[in-house]
Amino acid sequence: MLNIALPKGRLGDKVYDLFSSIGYDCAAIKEDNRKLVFENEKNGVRYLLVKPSDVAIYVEHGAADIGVVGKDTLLETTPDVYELLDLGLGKCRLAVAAKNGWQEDLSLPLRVATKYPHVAKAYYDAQSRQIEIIKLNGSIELAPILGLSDVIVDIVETGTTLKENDLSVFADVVPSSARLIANKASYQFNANEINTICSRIKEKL
Amino acid sequence: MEISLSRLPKEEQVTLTLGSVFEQRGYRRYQMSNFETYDMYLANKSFLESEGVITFTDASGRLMALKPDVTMSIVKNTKQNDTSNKLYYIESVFRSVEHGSNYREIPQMGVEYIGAKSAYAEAEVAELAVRSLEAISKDCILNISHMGFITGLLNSMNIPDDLRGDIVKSISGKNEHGVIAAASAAGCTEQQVQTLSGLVQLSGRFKSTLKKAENLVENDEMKTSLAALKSLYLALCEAKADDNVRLDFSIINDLDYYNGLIFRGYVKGVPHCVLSGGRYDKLMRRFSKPQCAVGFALYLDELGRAYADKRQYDVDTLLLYNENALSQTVMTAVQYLMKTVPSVRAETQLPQNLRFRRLLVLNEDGTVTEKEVVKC
Repeated sequence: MLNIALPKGRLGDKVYDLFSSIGYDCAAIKEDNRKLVFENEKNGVRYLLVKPSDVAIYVEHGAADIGVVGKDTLLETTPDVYELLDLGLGKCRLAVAAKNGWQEDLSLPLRVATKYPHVAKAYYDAQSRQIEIIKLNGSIELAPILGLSDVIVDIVETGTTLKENDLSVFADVVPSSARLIANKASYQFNANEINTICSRIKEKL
Repeated sequence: MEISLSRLPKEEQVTLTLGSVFEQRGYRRYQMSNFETYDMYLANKSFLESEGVITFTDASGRLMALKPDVTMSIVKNTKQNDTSNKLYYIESVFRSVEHGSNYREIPQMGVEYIGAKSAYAEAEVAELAVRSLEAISKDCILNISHMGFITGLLNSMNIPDDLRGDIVKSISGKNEHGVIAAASAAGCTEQQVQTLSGLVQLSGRFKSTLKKAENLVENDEMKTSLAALKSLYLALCEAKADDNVRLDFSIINDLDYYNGLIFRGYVKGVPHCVLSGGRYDKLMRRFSKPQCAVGFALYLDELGRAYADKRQYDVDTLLLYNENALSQTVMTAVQYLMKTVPSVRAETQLPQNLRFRRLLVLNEDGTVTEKEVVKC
């Protein structure tokens, strides 16, 4: 039985469709209910629906053998897992955004609001820029509007949210998309099956 | 008295079994103090598995550390003129995790062969690594690689040292798309990018993987490393220790400390690697020691959980006796029962939360009556 951790939500639905198209279907998952575990014994597969930012934790600790997670989360949490495939789904980028017309004052440390403190720190460390990090968990766009921070480091997909809040991208940090990851120990014992999944998905991409 | 290993926690079973395996091969037990000065670890930080060293100041103001690693202490204490020293250790190592908010004590066992120069020396340590994994579970895998192969390949491509990090990191994460991006950024040709990304897939059964690797050979360094792997494999076959051994060129240890052979071992049920090691001549040079050395460490901390005791009972037989009974009478009964059942616990009252298979009551005349156990 292979445990697959999927991120709850839109990305998870797309990823499930991908897995189902290569023969790992599990019809129950499409039913509208609050279950978090779905099993198809015939296919030897069990899907776990977890919070997107928790997928890597489940996989790293071996509760799931493989999983799908955004590169942004991998960069932030650096879990000890194999990153086997770039699925090309959920494409977005991590970017620095600020209020329209904002000018950087280089004489002061930069105040950065973000859900990604490690990524932000690494990005500014590389430029030797002193920053103050304000860790937020959501509605990051509010921070510069209220003067809580100068800029935000966040994921940008289409840019609509930024636009509607009178913000714009100041600099790109790194592109992101969904990645197939595997637990390092599980991989050893299920190498054939996991490799087969990888090559079948590759054909589909 | 015969000691039954099966009643001990997994970690102790493994320690006792392997202790005798290592002794049998002439390895001597090495014991060390829990404390070392911090500078040694600071100077060799990247050799350590994790950065979280627990430090404290001693009475004279020196910064001390609770040992996070045993190998380094063994290397430090190696005498310059020691031609060969075969050691094993059973120690605890200490680490702070989650940015210093948590401390952990990790039971560790390991083998260090100082002066290991010959091909047989490598084979012997690799075989002991296989035996160590087998002592934990028959469902185990030892991944083997050779650092010379990857460094040889990178050398043949003239990739500068500072650009190697990203490529190596992606290879060890089996991250093909990452290797392609990093290698392209380092200015590799298309052919080279393809070769490097192919390295990610280069793992599996020893013989077939070795054959595939032979097609990639570009220089003597790579050739020598494959020859070393081949001779190692033949020796492991001779010891019938080849079944669970795999070749995996994606395993790469720190280039500053390791050269030659490297290992990484896994057992079913534990979600991360439980064994790691290899040839660390470069670490020896850092401590100005002339010898070569091969070794590995086995992390025993997760075994307790992965192989939790699934016994139905805490004790086989519970013997209830009257508080006023003659101690001699009770002792006779206990001694008699011990010959016939795996375990006996004598009590005057029924203890709470104790699971037992059979309840016996000791009568005044020294006979015992079996009582029915009421399951709640």
